[in-house]
Amino acid sequence: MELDLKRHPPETTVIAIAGEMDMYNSHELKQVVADLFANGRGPLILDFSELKYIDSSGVSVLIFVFTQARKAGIGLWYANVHGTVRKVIELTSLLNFFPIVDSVETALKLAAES
Amino acid sequence: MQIDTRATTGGVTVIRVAGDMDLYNSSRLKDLIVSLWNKGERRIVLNLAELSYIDSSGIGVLLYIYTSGQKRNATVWYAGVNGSVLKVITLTKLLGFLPMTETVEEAIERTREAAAKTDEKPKQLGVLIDDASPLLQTTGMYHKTFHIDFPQIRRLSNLIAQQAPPEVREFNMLEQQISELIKNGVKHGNRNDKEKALDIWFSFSAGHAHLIVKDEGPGFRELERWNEFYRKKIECYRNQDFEQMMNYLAFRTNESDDHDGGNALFAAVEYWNEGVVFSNERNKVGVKRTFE
Repeated sequence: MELDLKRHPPETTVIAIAGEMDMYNSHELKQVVADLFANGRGPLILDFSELKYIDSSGVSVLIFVFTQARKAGIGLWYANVHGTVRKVIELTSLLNFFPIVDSVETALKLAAES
Repeated sequence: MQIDTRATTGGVTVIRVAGDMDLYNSSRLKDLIVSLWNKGERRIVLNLAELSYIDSSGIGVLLYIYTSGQKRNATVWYAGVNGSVLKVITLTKLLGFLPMTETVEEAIERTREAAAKTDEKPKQLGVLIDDASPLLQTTGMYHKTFHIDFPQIRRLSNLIAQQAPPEVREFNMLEQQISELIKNGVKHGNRNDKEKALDIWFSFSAGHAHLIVKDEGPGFRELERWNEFYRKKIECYRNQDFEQMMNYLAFRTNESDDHDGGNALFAAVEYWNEGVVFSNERNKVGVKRTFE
């Protein structure tokens, strides 16, 4: 799994997640997001366009990010959720639950409006 | 379009669809019903009394629900169709083809009659305990004993998934589901102890994947509590009650650690569409999926 953080002024962060997110590495994303939330309240967008695989540990990190953002009132969007990753989220009955949008552009627009 | 779901006694689920059903929203109904089927529901009544508009994509979904339901041995009744929706159904020559009743009560009655006739047992929601289940019979399956710990889980899952024929699509999905079972056995069962055996049986064809995983642990003690938890979660999801659903995202036990998602089994009971069955000892799990 590779994480690529980009800042979009004024204060939105986009994290592109690439590769496979599983029981061996999903805690890395958890740590990055926890640090981010500890240091600010700017909106967060997770971009899944290059994520090929996720397992239940990965899903639990997505749940963690979602509940933390909600508690702190931080705008959060999951963009480009597709393929196996979408299927796993769907099977876990979280598809309508997570704030999923079609693209990073849409998410940035929503973040700017919030 | 507004969708509300309520379950009645006798395993009939009534779904009220109100407003406009068109190109932009009709797939929502389809997704909901497919997910109910995947959870084992077999008796659905659609209350369409307050549906005021339908277009061809909506009709397509109604038709899909009917034909696909037949293939799955699931009954669907369309209740209270009226006005312009009735007109469109008539114009598309589906009157008399789609099973319709005037009222919801009548549809529930018809559903029960049909169920009594076929004498089907409603499939239980969740996981089962049943040594006699065909899902736990190992005859004719390939078997191997492994002694592995945590770092080797994905590699082994990959090797096993590769035994499936290429006709089985969604390789990643299959591998992911196998890895969850193996992870349970290795981590929660054998506690990463390589001295302990992990027995795996599997058989694959273009039409099915069948797996049995047995560990040397104490077994899934909290199975009943999990089933209860799962049913509550499903109910929240059905009612789209996301506030309440926040309480049912992760199943925790005294032994859960930070890395346990507590959600793997939710997806497993959806993916393994023939069921997830534990042995009476609860340290052996059989799962099966059939592919269309």
